[in-house]
Amino acid sequence: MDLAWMLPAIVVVPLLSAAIVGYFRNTWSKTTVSWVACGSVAAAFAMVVALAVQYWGAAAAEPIRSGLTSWGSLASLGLVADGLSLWWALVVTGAGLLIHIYSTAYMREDESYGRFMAKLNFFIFAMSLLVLSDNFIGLAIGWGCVGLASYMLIGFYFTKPAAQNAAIKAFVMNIAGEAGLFAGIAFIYANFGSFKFDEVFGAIAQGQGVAALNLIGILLLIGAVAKSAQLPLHTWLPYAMEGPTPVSALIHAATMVTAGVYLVSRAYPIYEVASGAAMTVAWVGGLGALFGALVAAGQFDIKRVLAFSTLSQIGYMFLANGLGAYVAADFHFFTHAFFKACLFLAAGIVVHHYNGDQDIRHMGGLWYRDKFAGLTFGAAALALIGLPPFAGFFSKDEILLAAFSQGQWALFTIAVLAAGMTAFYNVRLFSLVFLGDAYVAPVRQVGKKRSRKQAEAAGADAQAHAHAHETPAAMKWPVAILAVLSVVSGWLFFGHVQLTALAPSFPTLDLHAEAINPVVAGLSVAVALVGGLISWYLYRPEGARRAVELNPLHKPGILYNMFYVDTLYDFLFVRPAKETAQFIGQLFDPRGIDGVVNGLGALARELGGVLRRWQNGLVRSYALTVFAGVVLVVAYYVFYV
Amino acid sequence: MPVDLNFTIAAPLLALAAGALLILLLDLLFKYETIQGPMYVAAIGAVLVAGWYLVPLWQGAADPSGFAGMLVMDRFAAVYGGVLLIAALLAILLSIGRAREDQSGYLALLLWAAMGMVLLGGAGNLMVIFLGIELLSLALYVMIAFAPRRMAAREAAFKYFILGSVAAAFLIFGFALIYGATGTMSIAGIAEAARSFTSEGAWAVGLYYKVGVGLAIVGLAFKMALVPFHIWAPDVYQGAPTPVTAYMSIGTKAAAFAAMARLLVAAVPEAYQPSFLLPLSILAFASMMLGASAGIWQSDLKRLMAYSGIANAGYLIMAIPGLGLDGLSAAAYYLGAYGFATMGIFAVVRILEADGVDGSQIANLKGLFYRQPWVGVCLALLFFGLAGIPPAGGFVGKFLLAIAAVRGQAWIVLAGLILSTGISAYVYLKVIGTAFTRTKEAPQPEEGAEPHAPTRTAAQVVLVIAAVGTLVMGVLPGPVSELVRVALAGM
Repeated sequence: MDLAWMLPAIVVVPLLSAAIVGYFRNTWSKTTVSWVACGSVAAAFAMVVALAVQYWGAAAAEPIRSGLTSWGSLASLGLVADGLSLWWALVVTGAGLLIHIYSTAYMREDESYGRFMAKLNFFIFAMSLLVLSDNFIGLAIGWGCVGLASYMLIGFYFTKPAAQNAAIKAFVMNIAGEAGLFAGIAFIYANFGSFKFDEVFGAIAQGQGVAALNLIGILLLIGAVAKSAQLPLHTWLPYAMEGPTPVSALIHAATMVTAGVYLVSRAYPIYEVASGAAMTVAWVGGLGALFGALVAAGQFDIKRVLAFSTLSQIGYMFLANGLGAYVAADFHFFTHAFFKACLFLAAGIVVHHYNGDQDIRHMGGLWYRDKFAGLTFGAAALALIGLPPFAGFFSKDEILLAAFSQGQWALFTIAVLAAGMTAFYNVRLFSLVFLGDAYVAPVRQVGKKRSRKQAEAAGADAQAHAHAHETPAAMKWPVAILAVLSVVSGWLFFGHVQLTALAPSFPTLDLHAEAINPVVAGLSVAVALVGGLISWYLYRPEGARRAVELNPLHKPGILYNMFYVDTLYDFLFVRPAKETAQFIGQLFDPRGIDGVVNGLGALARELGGVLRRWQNGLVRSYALTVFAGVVLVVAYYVFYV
Repeated sequence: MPVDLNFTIAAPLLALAAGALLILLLDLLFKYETIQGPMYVAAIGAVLVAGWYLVPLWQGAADPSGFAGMLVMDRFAAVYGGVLLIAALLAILLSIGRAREDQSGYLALLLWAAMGMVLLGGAGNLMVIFLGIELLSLALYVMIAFAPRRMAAREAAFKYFILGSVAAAFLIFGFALIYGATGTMSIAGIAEAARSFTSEGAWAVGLYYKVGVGLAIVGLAFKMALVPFHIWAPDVYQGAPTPVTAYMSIGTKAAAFAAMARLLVAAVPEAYQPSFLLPLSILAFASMMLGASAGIWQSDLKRLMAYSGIANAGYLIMAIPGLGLDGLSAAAYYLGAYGFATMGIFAVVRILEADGVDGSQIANLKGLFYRQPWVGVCLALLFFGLAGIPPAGGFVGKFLLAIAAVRGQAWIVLAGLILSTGISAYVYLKVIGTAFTRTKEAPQPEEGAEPHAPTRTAAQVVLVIAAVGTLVMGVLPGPVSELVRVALAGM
């Protein structure tokens, strides 16, 4: 049976649904909106499953292709279902469906519920387009659209200025990355005369255009690093947690931020040849894995802990990609999508218990009130730590093994250390949230006295904490399913299964399933246990460090401040720009019109002041500018040989 | 010299000129109240007739050259002429509902400006380039001042006039030097002469020629508003009436770019273009950076669009270093996408003006989405077009330009594209954010201003055309890019 028609349908159905739900968001009842929005994603998921059955069921895995639109003779944009794209599309639509269902309960009380579901549908469209495209342009369009969806959803609570700033920060960083991606694609076209994966990779296989591949690899990496929040463009991700929790789960944990991993896997022939670019990928990933795990240990916002954990886990995937273990990277993406989505959704339940307060210092003892949240969160956390038989163990093991068997000792050490830190921050997080005594809001805050009204409000909060919220079934089921997948998806898909599934997409590689290496597995489990035990010693209910951090007088350190990278960027880029502007301002304005300069702190206005004085409305100074330009241009040609 | 009249290729120009004369005649013969509508119909009709005559040229005329080589209405000219006529059409629609004044003069000037622009695309001689520049400039000087009660408009016109005269002086001086070096005014002749300047196998040109080409670049860069010759643009864009701002932002840019491309293709052998045209790349880089970052602190939408236009002039120059088919078709495509986006945004300004609100204040856009949802959505789409975000046409255009720049190995402009795209995305998103901010207060109309329904309807039509155009060019770029490409492949 020819199922090729399903490919465009997978992309178009969620888009149509987004448009319809968006249009009827205020006229339809919330139930209707839920059915349409979830139904479209369910239909997309069903079609992906049907394609997967056909593709993997056939004896010889023949990619299923379909057209989409055309750019004339320049390019035709098509879709393809092969091992890699189906593997990703399954997660995108599958996890997407679960999170849609979760959102029907989680977001139901929001007055903009319809708007939320429409945007979530739009995201499914964009991400499906990204992973199903058979060419770089389609990928880039999907890439841009997921960025747009991310922007809209981070800023969903548009009355919160923090959310707006976070959305703009994320979008601008992504656009900068996109520019790198586009430049890379432009180079690909200039070298190979095509945008199609098959044609470009075919040309590379024949040894064409090898000279430019390192540059292309680095440019694509810039896009991947920005999208996947890797060092040094990671600063947007913690702020992106301003968005609703399902968004954090779907976009900023399971799927969109992993798009960089997909890009490198998809473009593997480039990185196979471009060894310099590949090593850069590996090091970016390795350092990110350790950095994220370290910073996660110092955060107090439950979602920020998870955000840095995501940064760290995607670092592992980049590491695997850079070492040529693409299947391991995609496998880790697969298991990570489940356990990290599970963690976020369970965190959503946790945050519901605390009326939206995300500070883990204000939690504690939740296990005794909500075993469901504790169990699911715990299972996913164990998968994240990577203890057997949980999912993360199998996928992380493959990555460590790749570094081990290639003799990349520095990267191997970093990755193992990061595994130890992963256990450390997970135990800390679990203990602070679920164990110990429930937090009681202090009546007096240190440093300033609170009014009686505030104190009463705090008391009411504490009472609200005291009785557990009932979690709706629509929230419980997706979390439960994801928790089960966090437990079983590792050994179910380990070894031959993922290899058979993905190998057709890596035709030039000699892939064979490797058994678990007792040295690597033993070492990583041992290090994780050590990290976990140290953390347990410090953060158990009567632990010393726990008491320190829960003390309101405690001053958070370097980890909480994310290694001061944000501060550094401020120091390196924002402040000098400001001061240069001021300097130039004084240069251009010797009399020093203080009124203009003083009090204009912001960079934009400083620079604006300078330009305003330049753009002063006087024709004679304009003419001078023009004349200066003429002199420069003419000077070039006078001295041009 | 034998008389070489070729009315087939001159027909689009003649249609525009005749339309202008007809409008003046109508005004003379009939009463103002009765003739106002027919004058607009006549203007639109003239543009459509010109477009009708352009179609066979698009398919490739048997003999595109005429008037002793003065006019070369080849496919290149037809493609750019098409972009310019669409801009003229939308500008006429935006002009509907102007205050009672000399409407016939205004429309006639608009058509003559269009004629000058189309002429620039088809110039086969340096004198014709100059003629086209002056025709469009003189018409625009007057049109900018066409707002009787606004001093700002007069000031803008005067500034543009003075600075434009300076630029024209440089242009004509450059032409004189080129003539001195080559002994010909004909562009085909210059191409021939330029390639004969060789010594020991390498291209070697004299001082006059080099400086001449440099000054010609300056003169055309002024019209395109490239840094540092952009200096007039913010004041003039802000001061001019909205339809005129819209028209000149796309029209002047497209026409000057067409003339520049035609001149430089002829004047510089391919192999030497990257090094010889380095100043242009630097100007483009500076334009992108200044245009993008100066937008950050603008509170006036028209000024913002002026800076956006400066940045976009820089993007267009990306096509120059590798002046091949790729570059020229990418530039034409980008001009189309940019034109739709710009026209649409000015249509939004016009829609606000129709309610008596000062539409050029960005603050007045606040809450637009909640008052007029479709206008808000279109505005977002059009700014996406400017920022180069899918699904808008600007995305495809920037992509094509980036490819052309890579082919031409223009690393400077490519870096500029990457940097400025990030900055300008921030600028545009802030404007979109303003339109999507919920507010209870509607902007206050200016004193003495009254709502005007025809203006609103016409502006809405333009907005819809622009939004659909942007979307089609972004989602289904095939047909349009193919039209452009096939047409230019014949060159």
